[in-house]
Amino acid sequence: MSRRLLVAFASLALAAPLALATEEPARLPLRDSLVRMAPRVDLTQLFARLGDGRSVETADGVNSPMSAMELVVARIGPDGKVTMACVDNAESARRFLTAPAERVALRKAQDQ
Amino acid sequence: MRRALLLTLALCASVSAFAGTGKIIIVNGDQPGVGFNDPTPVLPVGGNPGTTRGAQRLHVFQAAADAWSVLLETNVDIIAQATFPVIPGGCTADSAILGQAAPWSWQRDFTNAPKANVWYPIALANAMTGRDLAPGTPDIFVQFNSALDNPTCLGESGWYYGLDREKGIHSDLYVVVLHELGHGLGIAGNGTAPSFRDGIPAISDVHTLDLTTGQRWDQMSAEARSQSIGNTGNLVWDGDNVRLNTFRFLQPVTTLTITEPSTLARNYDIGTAVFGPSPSAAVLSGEIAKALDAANDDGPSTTDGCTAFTNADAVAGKLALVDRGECTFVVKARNAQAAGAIGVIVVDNRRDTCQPPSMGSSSGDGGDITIPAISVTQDDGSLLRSVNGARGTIRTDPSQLAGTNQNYMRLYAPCTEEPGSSTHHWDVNASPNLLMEPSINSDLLHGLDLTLYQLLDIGWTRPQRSGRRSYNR
Repeated sequence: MSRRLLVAFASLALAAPLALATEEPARLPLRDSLVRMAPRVDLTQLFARLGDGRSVETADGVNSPMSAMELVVARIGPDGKVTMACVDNAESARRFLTAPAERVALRKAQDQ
Repeated sequence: MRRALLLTLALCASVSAFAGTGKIIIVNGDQPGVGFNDPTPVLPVGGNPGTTRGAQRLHVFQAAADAWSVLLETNVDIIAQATFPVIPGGCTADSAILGQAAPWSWQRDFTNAPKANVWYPIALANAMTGRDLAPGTPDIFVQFNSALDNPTCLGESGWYYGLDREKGIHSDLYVVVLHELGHGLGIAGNGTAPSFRDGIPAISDVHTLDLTTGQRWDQMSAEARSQSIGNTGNLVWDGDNVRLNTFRFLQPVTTLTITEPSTLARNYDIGTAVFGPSPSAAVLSGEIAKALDAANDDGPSTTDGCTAFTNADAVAGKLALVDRGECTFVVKARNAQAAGAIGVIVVDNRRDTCQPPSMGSSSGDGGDITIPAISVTQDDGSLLRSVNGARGTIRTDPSQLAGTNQNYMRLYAPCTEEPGSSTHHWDVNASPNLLMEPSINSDLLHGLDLTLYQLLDIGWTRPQRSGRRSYNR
């Protein structure tokens, strides 16, 4: 039971910083939203949480906190369809999000 | 504080109901009113009975967790700490962060650890010891972005919460959660590849083999791994469970097999065209001839194939070799066909990629093309150009499965800085597409395909209590 109690507290602790950001923006017509949206998604917060913890001796072995994450990012391609990529670092994510549109569709056909 | 305490008690109660079953338990870490607790009324969709948006999200997560739970043996509950907030700054009109996942922690040198000095994802370490080695912490971290449900995010595309694959233009949440839970269960590294946490490999690194050097990543220096991570086609997964089951999920590769000269003899990765006959439908053998055309306004190079070939006699009856660029793929194929070629091989003109391009025709042009067209990478094209009289066959090779090399599954190892990469995925040449490819393709079925076998390779076992369940893609 103690494990679950601590898990629950961990859940709350993790969720707390996000609470400030969980209000959805007002729904806007798409055309307006295209004008108003920021041009880039913000990756810094996502990876900033990694790498701070140290490995520690435990009663049975050594434990290390997560130091990498797999992150799924998506873009709308020139054909209007969503293309996804799963990456494990901020630089790869940035490359995907900022590359020329035709480069992100690894298997989509091009005319020339 | 009172609300937090009540929420805590509720979470404890919900988790306790599953205690000891060895299942993956989704712990809802969201605040009231948002994420999994979003009260927005919705209609049930595609087999998802939820009547609020939050309930539908949670249903999809638990369904994906259950899909894994029935296939993996453990007597220690796997706690997946899950949230579904609006990720701050995580979306624009045309790009978005969809979600993220990882093992919550890693353990090494524990009782029953199969290998010393190797990191194991905590859920697997718990399963191996039969005890909770990191009490008080979850086992998997997973977070998804609810901003996708707002029309200001990623155009008109949002999450699809059904379980029937009828997603339309939307992103199939179930598939993405299956994929991310795969990472959380151990298809991941402890450190951003190719680095090792504390200089110690993760169990997945022990199964990462470079066929060029014959060394696994745990046997390499950091510098050698930095080279290996871009060794496209030759970085593979070394594990018997995967190797013995590839035939169940993959089809034979369509390839260009060079037979002469012997120094170049092997299968070459190819891209295919949407126009002309499919190269997989025919066996087409011949000499490879370098096509020449005039350098003019249609194409400034004599090798771009953009105008009528000036050496048609040398190309007739052979596989014409032309360079990509300056005109459409259809034009190149048409000129090759007019010269009497039996097929055309287009050499990529980009050095910053190691995947042959797929050749399209968005205008629909190309209905008159009757010869197969394929593409090869620039490096492979340079090899073909370096010799005269090379002979090749465009065919489907029954002895090699698409996405494999020497019967090993290829890992995603782009030779240069492809936009979007992580080694903990299969190579994109796998066909049909697999769950753990980096692009989480839209045509995926709702199966776990080779991912289960990859987990078995790192040490997971299948349940004994109900016998072995079979499963399909």
